[in-house]
Parts: sequence; structure tokens; C-alpha cells
Amino acid sequence: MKLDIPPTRMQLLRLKRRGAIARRGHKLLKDKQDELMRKILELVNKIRETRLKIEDDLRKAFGYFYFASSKQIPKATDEALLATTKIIEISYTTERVLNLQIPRFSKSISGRLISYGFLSTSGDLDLALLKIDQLISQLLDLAELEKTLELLATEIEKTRRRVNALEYILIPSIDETIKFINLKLSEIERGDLTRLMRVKEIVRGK
Amino acid sequence: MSGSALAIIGEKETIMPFLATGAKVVYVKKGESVKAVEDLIKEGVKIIFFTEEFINELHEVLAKYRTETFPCLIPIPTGRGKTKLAIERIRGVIKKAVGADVFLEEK
Repeated sequence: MKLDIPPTRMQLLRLKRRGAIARRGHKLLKDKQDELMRKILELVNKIRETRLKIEDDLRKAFGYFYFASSKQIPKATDEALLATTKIIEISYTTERVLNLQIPRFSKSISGRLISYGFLSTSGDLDLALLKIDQLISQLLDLAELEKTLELLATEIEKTRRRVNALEYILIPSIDETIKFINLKLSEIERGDLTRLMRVKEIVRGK
Repeated sequence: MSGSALAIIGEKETIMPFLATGAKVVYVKKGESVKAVEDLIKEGVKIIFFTEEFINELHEVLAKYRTETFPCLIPIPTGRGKTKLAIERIRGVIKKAVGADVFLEEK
């Protein structure tokens, strides 16, 4: 598609400059896209492993918990859970990956997990809680990974659109317009030349 | 940041055990999850885990916060049988980005 630009020498120069910039931008974005893609593929395997492991562990932990809560009176379970002195503190920072802010979490845990009497609770409860406690840090990892994945995925989409717009729309139309202006200019030049020759002929013929 | 940076949302029976870990636990029933999540985000909670059964309800909220660094909204399995919703979600994200299904499951 030809751009709507008057075919003058001035515009030709400007277009050539624009074309060069577009090409440079395109190359940069393409590199960025490749890098994002590499990162996302790296992440995918990690996420799959973490998620499957967590699902497995969580199911086991819930299993123990259901056993436990069916063996004791519901109130005892509630009390046991509320009695925890555990405090989980999460601090977060962000890390830059290309132009994205990727979250990083770290946790500090204080307090005791099991701070209830052993009389009214079943042993399965201890098992369940221990398991779930271990899971928390894995869940944090998962949160980090999945968020990174989402951010990367959105960025890839955006970058791809830009790359494609440059590659298939802007650069071709600039090229086409440059060609058009070149043709137009040489056509004008030829016209001038023949006019000049004709005029000279008329002058000489006098 | 204080301990309230981490919250877990789900039905009471499912997420009760998380109480013992010191995380903030919010019980919701079907239909209440959107409001609960929005409230938590307003409070400044950075990581919110929710059980898979709410994934469809929270669809819009998830889309809204997708491009932001915080909060992280992460689905966790319920432990009641295997629902593949969370995995499917990830797979969708990857498919859209990469253009191919690279998140194949080994079987």
C-alpha cells in the first residue's frame, strides 16, 4: 500500500530515513520476541513440574485432613487450627526481565505449627498440617512462576503484533512509496530533458 | 510487608487446613468470590490463591490483573479429585503466546 505522500525529493529523503529506523526497530523487536520465547519455553517445563508436584502433595494433605476431621468433633478441628501461632511474612521485590517487572517473593515464618492439645485431635491432623506447611513455599514458587509466565505471554503477544505490523505493513509500504517517488522523479527529469531538447531545436531552427 | 501479603480463598471445607500455616484465609461460597478477591486486592494482598472451582467465576478478574505484576492470582487444586482447570488455563496462556501447544502432558 502506497503512502499518501507528495513525490518530492524532500519526502524521498525523509522516507528513506524512516525506512531505516523502521528496519532497525523491527530487528530489535524481533530479537526481543526471540528472547521472550526462549524464556517462556524454559518456564513451561518448570511450571508443569511444580504444578503436578503441588497437586499431588496437596491431594495427599487434604486426604489426611479429611480423615482427621472425620475422626474428631468439628469444633476440635476448628480450635486446633485457630490455635496456631504461626505467622508467615512475605516480602516481595521485583526483578526486571526485558521491560517487564517480575515478582520475587521471599518468606519468613515464625511460630509453631502445632500448638494444640493432642487429646482431642487425631494424628492425621498433624500429618496434614505438616504437609501443607511444607507446601506453602512451593506455592509461593508457583505463584512467582505463573505470574512470570502470564506477563511473558502478554508481552510476547504485544511484541508479535508490533513485529508483524512493521514487517508486513509499514516497511513494505515505505519501500513501495520510495520506489514510486523514484520513478516519478526520473519521469519528471525525462520530461524536462525532452522539453529542453525540443526548445533548443526550435531555437536553432529559427 | 506484613503477613497479610498472602491470602487463600475457597470453600470452607477445602481450605480450612491453611489456617494453620499463618496465611490469611477467606471462606467464600459460590458467587461471592469476585467480591472477596477485589476486597483483598484493595487491602493490598499480593498473592491470592483460590481453589480451582472458582476459576470460571473469577475469569474477568483474572483477565484484569493479567498484565500487572501484583497481585498474583493463582488457582490451586481442591484435592477433591483432579480437575484440570488450572492446567488448562496455563495451557491457554501458552498457546496464545507461542502459537503452539507446547504444554503437553506426559502420559
